[in-house]
Amino acid sequence: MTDKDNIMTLDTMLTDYVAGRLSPAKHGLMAEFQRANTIAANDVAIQEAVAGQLLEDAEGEALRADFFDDLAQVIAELPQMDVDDEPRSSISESLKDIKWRSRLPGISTHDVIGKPNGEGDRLFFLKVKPGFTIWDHSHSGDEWVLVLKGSYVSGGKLYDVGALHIENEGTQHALTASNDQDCVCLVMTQGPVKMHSRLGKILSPIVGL
Amino acid sequence: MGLAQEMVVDATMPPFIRCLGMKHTPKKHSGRQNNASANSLSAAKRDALWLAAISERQDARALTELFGVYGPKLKGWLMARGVGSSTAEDIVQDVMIKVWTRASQFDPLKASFATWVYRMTRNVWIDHKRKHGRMDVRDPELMKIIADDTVLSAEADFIVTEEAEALRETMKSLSDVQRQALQMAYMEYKTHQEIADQTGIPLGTVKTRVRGAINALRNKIKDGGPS
Repeated sequence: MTDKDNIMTLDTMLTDYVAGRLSPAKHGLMAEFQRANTIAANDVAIQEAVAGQLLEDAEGEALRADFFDDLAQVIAELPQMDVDDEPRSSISESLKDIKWRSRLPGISTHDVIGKPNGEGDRLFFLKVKPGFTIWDHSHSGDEWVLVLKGSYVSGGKLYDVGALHIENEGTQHALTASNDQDCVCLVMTQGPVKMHSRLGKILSPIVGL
Repeated sequence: MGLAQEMVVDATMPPFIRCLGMKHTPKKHSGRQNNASANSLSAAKRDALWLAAISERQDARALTELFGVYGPKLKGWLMARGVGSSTAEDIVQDVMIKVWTRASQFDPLKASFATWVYRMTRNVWIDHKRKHGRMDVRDPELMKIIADDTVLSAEADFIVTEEAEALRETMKSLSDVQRQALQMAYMEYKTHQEIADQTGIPLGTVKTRVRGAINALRNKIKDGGPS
């Protein structure tokens, strides 16, 4: 994709995120993207403010007459939280406790939604050791990669923390982690991965990347 | 219009607020103020009072009145996403309970209640899709953190109250087609392709129009609102 296509795609993705139009796996990835990337966070903030304003102006659909009937009873039993009740955990903290599953030399994953080689949108963490490569591959749908730690090079471009790398259906791509540290990414894929190198073709059904 | 502005009590307001005799806050761009913005301003204040009543006094009536206003709007938003009437109401009730338990986390300086509850409803809706889509969740704990709308980026300069007021004004300066594009994108659950099909406008133009409206709003707000 050209940079202009990429920007158009990203704009649409952010609008779809704000409008609640994404699948749970895609939504999860975009939620982390706007936490990791200030530009995206600001863009989401203004779009959500616009959506909130439109909501405020909306007429809506009437609620059934007994909508509030049991409310007092239900909430009487519900504890209310204090501001500090809920320690806010973040992905970067949780990453330390992840149980990685080794897939190929230097490459491990941890699934969040969906199965390897399954159909539908899948969300998983990917860890690539310094200098290791994921060989040429493609997918039957899109692949979105958000870099959370370290960096990698793909197609001559460097992707580092906060970068969102979009590959469309069918495009072949490979990535190599930078030499200085592990590269950890949150990845959304649609449909099973298709390896294109001879060794990859042999290994992918076995390792289930 | 100065500080000595008269108390305005809107007869359409719920009794809970009417008896408070709420005042309007004088606005920065008072010359352009009209009824719509006055309503909006008092809506923000009214909502903040309801939220305070919920978190400070566990006032169930405030929750009922808050959702008397927002419940139908949220139900409409959900139904536009193809959700049936009764499921939409179930989801609104889930949101209502979330508002009740999390009222103390609402910060009127960071977002309007409308924006806060919009974000919350959208995330409850995504959660609903996940639960009912027979999706194979492999790590529920991590999913919870990823899906948690209270985890925000620390770095983003979120729309603060003053900017939200400017936004209201600035949205009025959008052209009809821009406003319609936003309405379709956020409220009516139309993809850019569907907007293009329905309006007969080319897809590229639709994308540009939604994005153009967002960028125009951002630039005007950063310049200090409409002038």
